[in-house]
Amino acid sequence: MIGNPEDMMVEAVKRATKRANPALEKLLEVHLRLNANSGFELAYRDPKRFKDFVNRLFGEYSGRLLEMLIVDEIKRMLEIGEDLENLEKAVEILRMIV
Amino acid sequence: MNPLQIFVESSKKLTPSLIEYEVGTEVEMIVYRYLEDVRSYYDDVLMVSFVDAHVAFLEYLKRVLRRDVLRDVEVISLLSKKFKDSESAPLIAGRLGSIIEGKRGKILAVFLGLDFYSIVFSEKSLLELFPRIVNLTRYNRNLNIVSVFNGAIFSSSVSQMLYTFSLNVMKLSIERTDGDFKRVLTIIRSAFPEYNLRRWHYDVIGDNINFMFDRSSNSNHFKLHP
Repeated sequence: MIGNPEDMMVEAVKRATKRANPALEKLLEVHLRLNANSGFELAYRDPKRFKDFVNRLFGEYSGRLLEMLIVDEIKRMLEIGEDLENLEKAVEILRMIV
Repeated sequence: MNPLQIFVESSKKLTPSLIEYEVGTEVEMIVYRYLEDVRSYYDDVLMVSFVDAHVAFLEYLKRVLRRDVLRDVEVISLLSKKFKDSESAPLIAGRLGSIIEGKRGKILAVFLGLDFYSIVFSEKSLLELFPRIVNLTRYNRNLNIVSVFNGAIFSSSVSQMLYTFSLNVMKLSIERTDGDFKRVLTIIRSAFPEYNLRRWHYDVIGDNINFMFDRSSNSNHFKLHP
């Protein structure tokens, strides 16, 4: 059980990336380190900026798919059926619940 | 012919078609180029968008091409966050059927975001919806269908269904070789059997797509047409 909301988000990003394509996890990590000087924790600290970097790397369409997968992972981890539209909402929920 | 031209010509002869993609394959540019190539062949082109998939698609094109594109494509937005319409497969199919039934001439319907729909609702919902989408041709015999879908993130039953119902299939994937990532386009199924299971590596530079035939997918009976 992961108790820290930022750790939960990092885990959700890892799981979502693995679902999409396991080979891309490392690629995204390196891309964030080089360009944002951050890791997957950026998804929690600044979700909008995280999405911008993902879109630049994978394209907006794949970026949106990955965002939906991350949100889906958060919903599974929290065991909630809530209708979460985007990463920003998921971060809000994490901050409230965890 | 390059693989996109093969897919374009094949999709005119066979329907439904499927563009299966993986994250990172710049599927937006492939779909855009496809639409540019086929636009004059059809009287109407519809972009059926689930869960605002067309918004992400158009954002990419605006960023890369720096101009408004696809202005002569009609967007039908379903399950948008702005309008909470029903996710029921029969209702969606009925609504689309009534739109398509009223069209005259050759029609192309490109389905974006069926994968988004499946993430938000369920795989079961998609398993109920997709056969109904394929059946839309009964509303209008001049309808051709192309679905854009990421099959890798779902169970094998979803991929099997998509492949079973699609007569023309192109797959976009990412291949890792020697620490490098390459984009690969494979013609899985088409109206031209001599090209089936042939692969091309491709790069997207600006609004250009450069294809390079993968000779390892060649065989003795296959002749490459440059």
